Amino acid sequence: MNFMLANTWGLWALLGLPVVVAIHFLQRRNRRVPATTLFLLEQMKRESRTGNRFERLRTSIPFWLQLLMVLLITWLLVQPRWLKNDAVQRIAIVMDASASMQAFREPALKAADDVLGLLEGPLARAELTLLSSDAEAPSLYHGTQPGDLRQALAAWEPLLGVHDFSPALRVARGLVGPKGVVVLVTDHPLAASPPFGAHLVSVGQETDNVGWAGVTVEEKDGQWIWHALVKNYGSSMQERQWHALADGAASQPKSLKIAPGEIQTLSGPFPPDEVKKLVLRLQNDALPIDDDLPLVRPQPKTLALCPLEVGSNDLSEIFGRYAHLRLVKVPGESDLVAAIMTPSFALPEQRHGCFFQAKADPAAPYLKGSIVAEPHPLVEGLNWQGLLVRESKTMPRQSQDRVLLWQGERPLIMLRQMPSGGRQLICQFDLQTSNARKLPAFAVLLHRFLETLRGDKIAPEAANFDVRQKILVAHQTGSEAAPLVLSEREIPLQQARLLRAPAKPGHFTVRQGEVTLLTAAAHFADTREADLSQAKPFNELDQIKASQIETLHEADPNQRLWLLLLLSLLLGSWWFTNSKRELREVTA
Amino acid sequence: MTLLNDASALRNLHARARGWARVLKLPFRQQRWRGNAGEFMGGGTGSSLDFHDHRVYLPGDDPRQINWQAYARTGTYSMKLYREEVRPLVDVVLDVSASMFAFPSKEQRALELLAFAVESSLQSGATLRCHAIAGSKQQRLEPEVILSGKWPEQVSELHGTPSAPELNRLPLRAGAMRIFISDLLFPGEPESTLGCLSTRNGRGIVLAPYANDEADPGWDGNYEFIDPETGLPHEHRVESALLKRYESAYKRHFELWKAAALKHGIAMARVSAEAEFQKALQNEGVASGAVETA
Repeated sequence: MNFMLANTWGLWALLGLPVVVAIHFLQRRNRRVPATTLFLLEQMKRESRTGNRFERLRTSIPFWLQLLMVLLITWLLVQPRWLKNDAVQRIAIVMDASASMQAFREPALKAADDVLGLLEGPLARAELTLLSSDAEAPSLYHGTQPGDLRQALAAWEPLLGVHDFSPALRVARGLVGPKGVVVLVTDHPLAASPPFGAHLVSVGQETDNVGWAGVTVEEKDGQWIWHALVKNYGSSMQERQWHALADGAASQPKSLKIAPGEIQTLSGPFPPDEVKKLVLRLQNDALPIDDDLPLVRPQPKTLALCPLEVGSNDLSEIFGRYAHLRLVKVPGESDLVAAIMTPSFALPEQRHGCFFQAKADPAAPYLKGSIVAEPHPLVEGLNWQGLLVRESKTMPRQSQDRVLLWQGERPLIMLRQMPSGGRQLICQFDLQTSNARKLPAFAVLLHRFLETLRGDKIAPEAANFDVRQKILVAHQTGSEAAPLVLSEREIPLQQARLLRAPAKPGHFTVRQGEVTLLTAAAHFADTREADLSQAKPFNELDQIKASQIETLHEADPNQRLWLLLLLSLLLGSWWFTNSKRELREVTA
Repeated sequence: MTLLNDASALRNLHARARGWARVLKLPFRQQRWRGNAGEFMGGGTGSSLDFHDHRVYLPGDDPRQINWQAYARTGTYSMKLYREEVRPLVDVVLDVSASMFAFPSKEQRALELLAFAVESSLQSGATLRCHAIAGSKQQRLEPEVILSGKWPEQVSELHGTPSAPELNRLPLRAGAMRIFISDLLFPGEPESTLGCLSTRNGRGIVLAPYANDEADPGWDGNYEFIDPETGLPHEHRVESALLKRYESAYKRHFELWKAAALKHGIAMARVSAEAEFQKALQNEGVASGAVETA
């Protein structure tokens, strides 16, 4: 249809028609007056009787003028528009990819359909674009057929957390141009208008939701125990059933009552050793993504450490306290060595290691000078001010050394990266005369160093992640190395450092060749997305329609003429009405 | 409270009417009267100072009327006759149909005309007799009752009769001045009504009060006309064309009455309800002979 009304509310002006008719009828309604000459009127009975009311109105010129005025006013108010010959409708729909949109998928699809309803008839050409607000996701649709766009909506899968819509809106605006329409379909009104002239359509409704809000797994007495958080995001007391699924078997459902805003912790042991995977399942509600909590029994990589010490067991004692670290006696079987650097000791070239100075003279004075830590992940945030170290001989610095801790001009701790790959932590103090063993910072440093080595160790492990969490998997490199496989998806080794857990909750593996490097579970624990209490409907479709009309249509070119005619009618009506009255007064 | 229901207002009206009656009078001088001795010249011989005729003395004549000068000249008894002076007879007939009181101005004018007729008659020493009439119903009104302002109570039962006043039912006196106060707004030929006023040597006078609401109503649109006689509503729609036709019909109606009045020698004066009383009465009344200046 190449003709439309920009302001359909203006049609209400048509109510003026019955109003004018009513006013004229009211004016012409019987006035009660005494008449002493009825017998004269009776003689003219045939012409003066009530008869057809419309016949009576027909003779009133002001009546018809006023009706015409109402029609003209209506015409001016509805603002008729004609479609331009070269009109092209460009509409980009940006679907919010936040996970909370899963709760409002159907309304969102309907909203997109409503936006498509803004399209003019077949006379107007259309260019349609469907995007996800995930700027990294590809375009869902670009074409001219609304039907195809509706089908493409099936591929829209909102899984992200809170994110910025601006990049997607920028892309959308770029695609449709300055006169096109960009519509953001989300589930909550924004604090400020969307950027890039986008219009907002919010399809959310305040909805109760109870879901998993996080999980921790700890090893206690050789037994792995999970602690899962459940949160009620709603505004009313909720009761849910939950159970655990492992190895195809389900536990007895348990009931859970949770107050508004309350977070409860559920705990339980992992099943026996042969069962590695577990799913905690809550009763379904509006947002399904946080109703399942997949878990794996954690299996950290174990480091093998060979303490090279003679006459004392300080090193064994220090390193024996770290979890998932095994002491071995043969250096060849170890992942790293720990040693006291005696004068005859030569640092191994290819091994990771942790080395300390030989015992200093107990009478030697303590080192003076301020202790300063370099900005390095191993020492970040650690307090070394209580460290007391006696003067002793130091190992000379090499070019590949990175000093982590200074006291005055003297390096206290260095990180040496050997050319053959060994990574060595060199402590320029002894463990007997210094108080390093009493410092928490020293224990944390060793832990971080061990964790660094553990991360680099290529070995199978099992761990739990948040969805889309960054994953570091130590793997074989080199031209001969096989690519990584995340579940069924192959990841080139060049992209291995970009590896992330899947966006959907579930179990997954990372393999390289035939070796399974990581067995893991990804769970959804985004409390901002799971909170549906802020979801509210909001609609700017009318504005969109108005702007479309302004863009694609041209106004009535005779508008001024109609206005002039309206004024003429007004004057005419006034003149006819007054002339009649004056005539009556003159006659009187 | 309307004027009709206010006896004191009616008495005040009579007080004013006495003043009007000194300026304008009923046309008693235009007629030879018969009746009791009074102030107006009668049709026969009497004892007034106005010489009338001579005739031969006949036995039985009053010897005081013998013209002795003529006897001295002629030696024959002759009588000198003088005009008689009589009291005129006045019959006032008031149309008390509801249309007479439909508009306040017209009501006042009708009552003023009645008061004027009564006061003028009384000032002239006429023998006054009053009647109220509505259709076929009538009521004799004593002048004292009229002067007291309580006559409306006596005619209250006459209202609601839509037909023309039947004057032939009234005991109008022969040779009397018959003053008919009516708006003449009833269907029917004027002949039957006016004929009653002129029979038996009667001298008919019609005083017809009218209101502008009747003569020039300015109707435009839908009206629910209320018939004052019956109180019933009548729906009419009046356009300008119809209004013109109504106005010409109204005019024609009174032209017929005037023509009929002329034919019967009846003085007819239409008295506007809106103008000042004396001016309104003088306007047509003097020209038509319905009243005369003192």
